[in-house]
Amino acid sequence: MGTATDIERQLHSRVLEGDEVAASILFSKYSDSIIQELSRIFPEVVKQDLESIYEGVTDAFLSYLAQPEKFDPNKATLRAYLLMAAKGDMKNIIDKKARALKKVGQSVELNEEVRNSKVDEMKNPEEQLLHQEVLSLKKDQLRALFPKEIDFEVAELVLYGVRETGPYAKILELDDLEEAEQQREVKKVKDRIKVKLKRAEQRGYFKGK
Amino acid sequence: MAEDINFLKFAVNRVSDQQEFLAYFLKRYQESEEMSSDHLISILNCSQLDFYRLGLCKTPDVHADDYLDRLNRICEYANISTVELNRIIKTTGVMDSFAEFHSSGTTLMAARDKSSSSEGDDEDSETTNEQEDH
Repeated sequence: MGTATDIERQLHSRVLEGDEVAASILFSKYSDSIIQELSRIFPEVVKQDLESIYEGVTDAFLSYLAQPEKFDPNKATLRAYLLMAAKGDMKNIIDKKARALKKVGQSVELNEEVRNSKVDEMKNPEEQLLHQEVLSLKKDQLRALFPKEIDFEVAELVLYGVRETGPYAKILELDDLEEAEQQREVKKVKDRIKVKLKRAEQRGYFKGK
Repeated sequence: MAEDINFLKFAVNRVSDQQEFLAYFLKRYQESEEMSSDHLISILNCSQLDFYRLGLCKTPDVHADDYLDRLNRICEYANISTVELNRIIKTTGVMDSFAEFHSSGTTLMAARDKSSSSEGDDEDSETTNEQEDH
């Protein structure tokens, strides 16, 4: 299981000590990679509502700054902790916006799509964190199992539990195809990846490593 | 990794109503002096990025023994003048104290008015009750 890096531990200590500059460093140094990760998982949100991602990340950072003692550097990296919190906060924001849009009778297609993601169904931040850590733990094995970069990225999304077509279509560069065709192509690739993952799991590939 | 200046701007706006962040003091100062962010940035003689970084710093305790050390560390980080930041924090602090004093005075007066008015109401209601008893 991943633990915080030395730099993360130093920053965390500064936050705990009430160093005024530490909060700003946190925003400056960690926001970009987390925004990029969320953008990769939710490309449709980025296109239509980048502010939701900004809100989710800001909320996550402020929650951490309000209660830094909740983060245990021996259990996770600070980045993973913040990413999981941001995902949870983003889901709440999207849900809230979806409810508001429904009230005024506007389309909530995007929000429904995002809400349907299995990742978002994991409401407990600890459960999300564990999921993230398991993924990071298996990353090397996953790379060995899927030497092709595209297959690896698809496998990662499958393990994240992402169900919407958009992220897969982007990785597979199917953006130009019709939606129905995208879905068919994505399904084919996902099925192939899932079969390979299942077989690997059955022969104990991920166990004890 | 490059910083997303749009995100930092968003975050600064988001925390600008929280006194624990310097963004609050920058915003209050701008409002009181009726100046734009760009104008304040030119006064502070820093970049836009430095300005947002400054806003995301926590507010040092002006009563702390090491206040000046803390202020210096922030200014070194954000590349701005200690004198200017100190002036902004102190000016805003005075404005807030005055606003609080003014507000509590108004509240006190309103409470007094309400109190004397309700005393009158009590007398009225007692009279009414007496009339009903008869």
